[in-house]
Amino acid sequence: MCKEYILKWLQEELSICIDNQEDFCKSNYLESGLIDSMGFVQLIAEIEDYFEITMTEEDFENPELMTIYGLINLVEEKQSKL
Amino acid sequence: MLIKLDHITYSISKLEYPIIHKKLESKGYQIKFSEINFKNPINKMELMIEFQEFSDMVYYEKKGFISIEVIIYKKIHMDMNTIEEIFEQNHCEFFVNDFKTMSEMLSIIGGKINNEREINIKNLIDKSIYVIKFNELSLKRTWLCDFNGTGCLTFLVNSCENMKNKLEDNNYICTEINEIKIGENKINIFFVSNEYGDFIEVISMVKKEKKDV
Repeated sequence: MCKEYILKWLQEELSICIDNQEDFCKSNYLESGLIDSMGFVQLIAEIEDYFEITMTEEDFENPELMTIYGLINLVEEKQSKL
Repeated sequence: MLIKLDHITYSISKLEYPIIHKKLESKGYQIKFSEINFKNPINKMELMIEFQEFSDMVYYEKKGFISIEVIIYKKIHMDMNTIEEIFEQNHCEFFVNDFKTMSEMLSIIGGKINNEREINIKNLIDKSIYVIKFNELSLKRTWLCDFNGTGCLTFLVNSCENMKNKLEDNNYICTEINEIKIGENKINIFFVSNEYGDFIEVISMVKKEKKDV
């Protein structure tokens, strides 16, 4: 559900065209240039709001945050602690 | 939370723009986006000699360097103390009235003081460190947004509301938060100044309106 929500949000709000979901979810979305820094900030804000979690500075240090799969793991980990 | 140092503003007149554009292009800067008749936020009124509702804006970027937002005002005022700022890869030298209070102000928003003249700004997105070195002006000046030349540093944070509260808790004077529209994005913006008149701009993204996706 988390994956579907994030992908749909990216497609609808940031107009990102995702050809291959698996490749997209594994890749570093900032390095690939698919999401810029403004888009990234919007994405994090949306995730915090929708999933009712808070990202910390330490979370930003985590390289996993830069892939959709990593982001999903982080969201699920935080949700499990709620 | 501070996300990154986003850009520096540079105020010019329409006549000057072709020269500045050529200069930036020759230094490897490229236009990311531009806005014609961009609506200035009302809170800028306090920081302008004469408020102009609209101006043009061109945003330049270059990898590893600070981005530059050129604001083209219809009416620009000459600053008698115009200074050529120094921008190099991952660091810049910036002139202020008082470096100690400027460093302190930036440490509140999330910068790490190296020494009293230098502050590190971490980019939370790409993990790079940007170093700002402050040079102090021998002659103090009152700088405003519609003065010709280098303007203020602009920082991207996750929430303008939270950052404004944090700064006000530390006795800094902030303008109201205004919302502006750049392309399809809505951005919150406010300015904060210190007792010596040095000020910075703080921005955050306005969340997209909730809809069922």
